[in-house]
Amino acid sequence: MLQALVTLLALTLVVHAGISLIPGDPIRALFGFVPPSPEELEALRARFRLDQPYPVQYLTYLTQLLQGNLGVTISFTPQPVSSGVGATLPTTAVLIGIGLVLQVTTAYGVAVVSMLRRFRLVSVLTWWAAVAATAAPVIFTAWALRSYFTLGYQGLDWFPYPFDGTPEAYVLPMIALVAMLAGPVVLLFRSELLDTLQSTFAKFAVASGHSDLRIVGVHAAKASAGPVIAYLGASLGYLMTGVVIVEAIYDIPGVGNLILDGVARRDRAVVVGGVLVISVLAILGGMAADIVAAMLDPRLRLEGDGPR
Amino acid sequence: MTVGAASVLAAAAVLAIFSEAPAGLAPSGCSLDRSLNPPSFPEHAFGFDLQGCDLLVLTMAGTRNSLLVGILATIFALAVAVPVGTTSGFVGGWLDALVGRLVDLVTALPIILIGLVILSALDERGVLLVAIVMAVAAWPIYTRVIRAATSRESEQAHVDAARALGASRPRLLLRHVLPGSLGSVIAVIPPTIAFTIGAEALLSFLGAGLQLPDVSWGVLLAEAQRYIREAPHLMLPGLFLLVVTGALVVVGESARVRVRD
Repeated sequence: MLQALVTLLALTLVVHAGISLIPGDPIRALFGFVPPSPEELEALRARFRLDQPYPVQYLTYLTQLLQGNLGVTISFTPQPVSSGVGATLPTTAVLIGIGLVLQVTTAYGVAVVSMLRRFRLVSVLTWWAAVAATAAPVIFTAWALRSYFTLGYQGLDWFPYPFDGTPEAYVLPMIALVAMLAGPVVLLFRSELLDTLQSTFAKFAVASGHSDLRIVGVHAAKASAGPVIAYLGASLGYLMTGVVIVEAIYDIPGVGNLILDGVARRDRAVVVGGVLVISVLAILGGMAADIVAAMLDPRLRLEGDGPR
Repeated sequence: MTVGAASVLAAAAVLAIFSEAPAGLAPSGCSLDRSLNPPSFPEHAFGFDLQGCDLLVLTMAGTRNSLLVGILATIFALAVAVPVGTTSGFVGGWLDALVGRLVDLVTALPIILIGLVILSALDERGVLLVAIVMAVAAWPIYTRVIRAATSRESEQAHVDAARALGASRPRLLLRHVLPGSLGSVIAVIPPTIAFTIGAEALLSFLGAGLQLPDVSWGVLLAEAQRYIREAPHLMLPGLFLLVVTGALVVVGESARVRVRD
């Protein structure tokens, strides 16, 4: 917990300083092509405390943050960043949540089916599919899917683009996201399953006449789940980055686009707030993964974890 | 299959080294009246880009920067991960616990996203800078693997035997533990390079990675996104990207099987 807080604190500094160092003035950007008078400039600077030395600016932000205040956007009508995050978070949460569920179920299904002796060809094909999914950068899959299956770029009019919030609009982003996430998990899960199936208990299960599906899908899968869940927990940062990319490519109004838009407008409070929310989600997810792993594998439990 | 993948990588390496001036097809041979012309087989298999440059030549020239980012990032990441991971795995105790926690936390962060913010702060973004951001993203992956392998290897009987014979700690580490533990990291390198190459494409695509006149596959794809409607062939550089990252993943998979045995 403490380490997590320290890391988040360091994160706010790095991102806040990073965005503040970007050349370009957030106040001037507000005015577009009409140059502001020096008085206006000064007044707005003072209003957003941009006239103070940088350490003071950061400390002011940090004090606010520790009081649970994410600050306000830099604009003529400043909005609280928390309302921007609140408005965009549900969409992003849907992408993350459904993405995770689909990733896990797809990876489980594909890995198990590919281990069944009856389906040799399927095994080879799924291996190639998993390699392709692992290798293809999400930016490329997402963009290629958008170009070919939406009207946006000469493609087929199968799915809406730009994003309109309907369930169909989630299909392509989800495919891109799940392909990126499930590929490495299938490869890892497969190789763990192969290992487990060599062990004595698996051979015993075969000898006692259990069905292939039951042996692979239940017994071996449970015994192989540890490293896979550890990987899932560790790859959450990767998942979050993927979500941001997918949001950018499909113009989905989520936290990712909020951040990218904040970068473009040099609006530090928006960027730090967005990155912070996403990182907190990832860290919490990692902790949840540890708990699930311990539930599946008693060896991972810490001492004093209840009766044994 | 592994042999095929390895030869793809060898071909890419040759391209990366020699592709600056392919005979008679120098990038200066661009002409605007061929702007966005579609591919014509076999002379101009990838067609032409906006400036009327041969896209295949550009893609081949981009191989160098794309691979360079991947390789430099790997070197930087390993330069941190090998000492940190080995020491913490070998020494154990609170140091190991601390490193383990740190690695867990850093992997949970969306590093590429943070890199995007930092990189867009900089006017001049060269290969070196992008590679450093990638290294920051990649070092926890390596450290985790090396740490686990080192602590596993340290418990082997042959290490105990050497310790009983009076070997010093540095000698134990360098002669008896490292040779065994470094094997397992080798399997992780190719897919991580693939990830890095993809991430460079990603940063460049979003305008925070390399930029012209530096050419990489990501830069070409970023250029393509504006004109993809008029010229779908601009997506072709992605083919190089996919084939090379695919080959890296295949090599990594077969290395993983081999290291395990």
